[in-house]
Amino acid sequence: MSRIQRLFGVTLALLLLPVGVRAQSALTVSGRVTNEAGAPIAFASVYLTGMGLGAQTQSDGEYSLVVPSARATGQQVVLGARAIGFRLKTVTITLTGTALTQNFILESNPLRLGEVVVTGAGTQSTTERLGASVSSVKSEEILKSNEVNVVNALAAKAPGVNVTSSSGEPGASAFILIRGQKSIEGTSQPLFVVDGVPVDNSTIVTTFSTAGTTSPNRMMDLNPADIESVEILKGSAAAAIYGARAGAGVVLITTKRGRPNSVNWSLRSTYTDDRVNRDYPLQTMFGQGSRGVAASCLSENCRLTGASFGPKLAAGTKVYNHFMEMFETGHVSDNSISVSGGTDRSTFYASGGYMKNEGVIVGDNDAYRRVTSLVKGNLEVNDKLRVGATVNYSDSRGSFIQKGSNLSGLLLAALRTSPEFNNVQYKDSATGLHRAYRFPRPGATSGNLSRTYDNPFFIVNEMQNTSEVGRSFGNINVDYTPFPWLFVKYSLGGDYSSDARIEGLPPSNSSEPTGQIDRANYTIFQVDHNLIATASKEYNGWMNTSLTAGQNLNSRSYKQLQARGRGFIAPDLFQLSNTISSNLLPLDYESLVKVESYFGEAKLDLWNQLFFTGGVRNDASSTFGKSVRHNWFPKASAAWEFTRTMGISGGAGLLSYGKLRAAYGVTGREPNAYQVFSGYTVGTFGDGWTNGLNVSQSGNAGIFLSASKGQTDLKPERNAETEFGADFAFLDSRIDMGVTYYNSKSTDVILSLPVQPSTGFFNQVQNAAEITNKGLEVTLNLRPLATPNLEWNVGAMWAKNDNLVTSLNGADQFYLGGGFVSGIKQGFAHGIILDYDFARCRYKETANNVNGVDINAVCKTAGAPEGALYIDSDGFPLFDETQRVVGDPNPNWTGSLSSNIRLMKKLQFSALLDVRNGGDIWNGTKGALFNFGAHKDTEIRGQQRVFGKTYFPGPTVGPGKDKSVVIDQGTWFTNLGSGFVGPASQFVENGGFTRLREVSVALTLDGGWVKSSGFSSMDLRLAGRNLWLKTDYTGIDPESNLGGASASRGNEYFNNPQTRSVVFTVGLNR
Amino acid sequence: MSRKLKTWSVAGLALMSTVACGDFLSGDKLDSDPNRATTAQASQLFTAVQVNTYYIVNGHAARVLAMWVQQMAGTDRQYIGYDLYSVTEGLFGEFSAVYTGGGLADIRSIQAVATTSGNKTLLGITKIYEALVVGFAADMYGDIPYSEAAKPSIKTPKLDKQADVYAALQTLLDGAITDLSAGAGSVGALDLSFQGERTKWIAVARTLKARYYLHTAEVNTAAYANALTQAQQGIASPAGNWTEYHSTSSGEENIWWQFINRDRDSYTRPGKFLVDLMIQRNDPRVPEYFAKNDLGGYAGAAPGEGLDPNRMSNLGPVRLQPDYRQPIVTWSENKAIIAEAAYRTGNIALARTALDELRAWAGVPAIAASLSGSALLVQILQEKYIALFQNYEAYNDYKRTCYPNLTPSSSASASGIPARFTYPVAERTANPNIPLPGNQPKRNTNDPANATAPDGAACKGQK
Repeated sequence: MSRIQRLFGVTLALLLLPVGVRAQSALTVSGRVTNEAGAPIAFASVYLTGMGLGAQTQSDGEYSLVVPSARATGQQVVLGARAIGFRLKTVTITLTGTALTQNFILESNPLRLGEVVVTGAGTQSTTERLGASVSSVKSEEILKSNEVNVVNALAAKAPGVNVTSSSGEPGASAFILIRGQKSIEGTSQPLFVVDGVPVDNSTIVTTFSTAGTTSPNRMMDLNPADIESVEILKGSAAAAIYGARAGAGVVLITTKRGRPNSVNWSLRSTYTDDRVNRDYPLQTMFGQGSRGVAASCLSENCRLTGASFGPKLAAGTKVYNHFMEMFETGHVSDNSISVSGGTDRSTFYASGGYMKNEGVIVGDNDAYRRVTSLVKGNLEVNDKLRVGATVNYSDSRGSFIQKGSNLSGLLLAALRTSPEFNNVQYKDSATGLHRAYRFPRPGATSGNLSRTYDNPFFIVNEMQNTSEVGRSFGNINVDYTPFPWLFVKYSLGGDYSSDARIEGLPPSNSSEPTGQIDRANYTIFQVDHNLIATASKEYNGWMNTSLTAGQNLNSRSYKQLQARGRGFIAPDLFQLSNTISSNLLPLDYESLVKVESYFGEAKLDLWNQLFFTGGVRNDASSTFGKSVRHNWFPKASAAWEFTRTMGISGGAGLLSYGKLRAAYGVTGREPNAYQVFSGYTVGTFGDGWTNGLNVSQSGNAGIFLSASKGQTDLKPERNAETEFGADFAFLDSRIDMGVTYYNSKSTDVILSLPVQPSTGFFNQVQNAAEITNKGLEVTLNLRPLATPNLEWNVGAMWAKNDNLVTSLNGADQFYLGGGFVSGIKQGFAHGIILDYDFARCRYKETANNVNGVDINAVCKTAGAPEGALYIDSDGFPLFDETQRVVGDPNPNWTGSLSSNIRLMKKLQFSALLDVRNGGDIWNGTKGALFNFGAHKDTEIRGQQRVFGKTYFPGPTVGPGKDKSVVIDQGTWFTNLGSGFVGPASQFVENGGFTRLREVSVALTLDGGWVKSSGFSSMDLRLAGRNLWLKTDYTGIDPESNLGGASASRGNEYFNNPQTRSVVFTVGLNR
Repeated sequence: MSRKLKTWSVAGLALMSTVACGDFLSGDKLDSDPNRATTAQASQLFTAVQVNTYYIVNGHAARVLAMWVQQMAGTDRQYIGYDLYSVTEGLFGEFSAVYTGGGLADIRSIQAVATTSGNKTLLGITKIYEALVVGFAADMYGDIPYSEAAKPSIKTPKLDKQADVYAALQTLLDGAITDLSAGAGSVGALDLSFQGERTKWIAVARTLKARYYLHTAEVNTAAYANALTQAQQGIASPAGNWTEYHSTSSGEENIWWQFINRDRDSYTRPGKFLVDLMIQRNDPRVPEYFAKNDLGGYAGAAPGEGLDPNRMSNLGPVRLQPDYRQPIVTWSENKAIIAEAAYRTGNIALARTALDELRAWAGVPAIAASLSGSALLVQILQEKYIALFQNYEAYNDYKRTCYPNLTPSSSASASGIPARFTYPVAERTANPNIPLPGNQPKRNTNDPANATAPDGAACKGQK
């Protein structure tokens, strides 16, 4: 247990002490809170204004509030009831006697007017005052998604917020992108803040992002069942209060808390059945071999060709589905219990969760298990001082499967296997050693020999890739109101995690045949101190002002202790000490970043309809160059509720509500640690094809100049964004819609600008690039029916983002890490697929010479259209060796449609349809399987085709136009038609999709035996996740990414696939 | 209670002021990078220079060049493409390696220290490393940055003419010989090749001078005489061969072994042309160079042919070892230069003697007395082609002489065997003087296409 955890524990114990003290003979105020249709409202808050007393409704809408007799002196007080999504209602009551009953019927408040919205760094506002768009996601929506990772749960919940999970494996990372990519080398992941304190959401890859295994993003350590609400600060105008950490947006998560004078129990149990959601097209007609000749193994330890270009398999030959045989039914069981409540002055919330996910890959080695707990306590010391503390603890254990571009990768090995080879029997019957299709007869001496590719069953059964994470995060917070006009809020937060990893490949694996183990420990520790003071003043009701000043200090350290050992001594012991000691390679690293910030914000409300906000933050970070240490991040916004000017209020009328808003703000992104320094480095020399040579040799120490030249005056990236929007409601608020247009410009974007290698350095980071993002976000909600027995809601969202890299400061193009073909190029969108194409007519390019032929001249003569494929004299296309943009992974637009129907207050149907229009994916898997003759499309081998007509249909030009050619192994599939040889353009496919992301039916039971068993209600839910998918993409589910949560999007190369699920949930409440 | 409140306020204010007055952003791990050294000793940089050189001369480029001269063949995936001359500007990292860490940048740092400290042995040896790697870049790319390269004050080094680079390397090697002859300083075990034996380095410098004279001889036949003079003072016995250091320890293994035996089994196999030639010659080096196939014989792979593991030989058991010391510059190259340069300058007797010495060392009989004229030249070039197995110098010889008269591997490639590397994309994008790949020269200035092979037949692979 770390020091910080202990600290939290002690504090918490102290805070919870007063909970046991109860008031003597008192007045009980109770009643029921329902909506207009009569359905009970759970978690509504009922409170006595000015007395600091309140309660929360149970799932049946009942509340009970106790006023100590000493405080019930017959006075008149205001009793209010509010709930998220409903309008506040107040009544005045007289506090006499011992029991009072007061029921509330709350009107729906679809626009959430008057509701408090947290806006970051301790500040808050109300919905109608917001000038910048903030998307809210409620607890119920998160639970309905049936995702165990909160980031996945945000998919299709807010316009302009796109979520992609890296695969369907247990513990796979999810990537969230808000309003487009704004950075090149920095993270595109937003800042996550839980209960006011920034927390870590990094995704740490043990070895390689394009190989190795998947790894979780750390927000997975939070149990979604503990979340009360999520606010997404999408643009810079909303997020500017977080300055240099908010360039990619901010996700503010508020966890559940207890309400005074109530005790609530909740038990929730979910069971999920997961299956792979798409099959893979493999050929089963031809066997292993080359040029029509079968591969034959003549001796022990023979090595066979990996190609399936052998003869046609004899009728009756047993063939295998090498894709589906790798999968089984996976399961998730997720159980949470929570208890919350409090007395009049203290509240608490405590929960525990246990989630166990056994993935769809055969065997037990794809699994993720998470234990979470959250304890939160609050104590009102007196009317002026409130003290609170929260601690989250989670223990996560993951086991993963090797994937991607990796000789020991699951689908690389499985899909390349020739159809007639039986992979299931992965141990040789005679020697018991690892056998694989390219190494079918392992001899007794082959224990340390490569199999060229591993047998996929060896991969899933014999390897050990694990992660064990202990994490604690939380905070101590104090609210202090010394005077009615002054509010001070302080929080001290900590986030500590330790991740122990093993990535172990036992001997006879093909990546490192003598066996290789990586053991790593990653320690992340963040401390955040945040102090704000807000002074406010009202002027006779027509003007409100407030002024906030704050200080934030943040410190983040990262420590990596990692070592690689090669050469196992015992074949199955995953320990560094079990390797030959001279073959140890240490890979340790550490970093420390500190930020010191001051910020201020001023608000002005006029006549309750004009709302202005202005603010500024100054950040100084240890990652900025010393000469440019302090950087300013301003913001300003205005909102005008014009319907109030027109005399419309209360949400009624044809036009029930209208607001116009405009906002501007600047956020930034810190450089990575130590980019301001130059230095020498140790490591290896190599070309990527081999492990390379250590810089130290024969005991002689070696060191060399780092490739990167330090940049002493490095500044943060800046993202300035303007947004305009409008919110409307019509027909007594039965229809509401919101439209937001934004235009952001990111400048000083950090780029490792290549310096000519001949200067001695490869690159130097510079504040060099500029990227723009412009977009439109629309939401539309309809509530056509709202009767006591039938409620029907429909919601739609649509968003479009146009991204453009406007300047790379003279540089031409770059490849992005984490992928194979992703890059950036001036004048194109971020993350475009950068590779080669065939020679084509390109009239827009002045020089179009390929292999000495002026293609454009040929095209002009023939009158061929732009883009016509040039066919060489041999009847085949020609490789054009100029690198160019061959695809764009950014979708044209994204949208979603959701609907919710509630019958008889008890039965609820809901569905969520998610659309991604466009967005290219490089189908690298297909390119590789062409090369090996394993893909279904290679069954045409030996057949005649004509380019432009019966193959690659489209216009053609050139000397070989309309020539019929034989499409065969040598002429095409291992030649220009191979993913390894030919241009990548031919494997770029449209990755757009339409999917039924969520569908569910839920039944609430709250009578008879449920009540008599002591519960207030019981929820039963049957749901489907990802049950239906429509896409033109020919590979696995296009919602997948090789590099996980890296900046490279749209790369698919033997990624592990996605799943679809059927989920059953039982919830018990009291 | 109010006292407590005051305490809170004071604590809060104190916290703010402490931080505001103290320097929160300075300290350990903030003012410097804890992961990287800021200084390096010359001896440590020297190790890096040696290792980086191994990667330049026996890494990816060497493997591809061995395929282009058909000593090897690409048998799997991308390597099939490279063997079919499908090469792009992103392909070779060797160019950058010549200049950056472990290359010229660090060589310059060592030379500065060695000059100051008077360690002329270290100075001379690093000049030879410089000559080797810069010469490699000039061989493959033609005009390259050199006179202005790796100088902190110059942000965009200009391209020097290839001929000027070769001339500068001759001067550099003369300087190395002078430095080493001075007998001052020492390097000892830091020198992974010769443990600081100066006479061996001087001989290597002579052979390297001869090699670079040959590289200019296609456009300046007078260079053959210079090559002969230098080679006659060059490496005098196989014991003087400049070889790499490798061992069985992880990260020290021979790069060819790493590639074939561990990381990329199946990507490359010995080439059909060389295997057939040596079998036909009954060359005793066959079992050294090649391993027997599953059928008990030897067979190579034709260019771009996919892997047939049963039929195709792998590299031989002598060469395919983690601790095999890959040759860089050898006695046999030196002897072949003497033979060829003597032949070219009319000293047929010397040419015959040198050739027979080479053949005797290889274990093949002396040449027939009747062998003369272009047949003698072909024989000399053949001995060199075989002796320089896996060495990129075989490609330089091919470009210069069109020996062997190779049939290009791909019918799709109308432009013959590539005669140079395209400038790397990183250099091109940062250097406005370098044209797009399609507009770069097809051949370097020292290497006009040969119309005929040495035997007078039309040259098939040079356009």
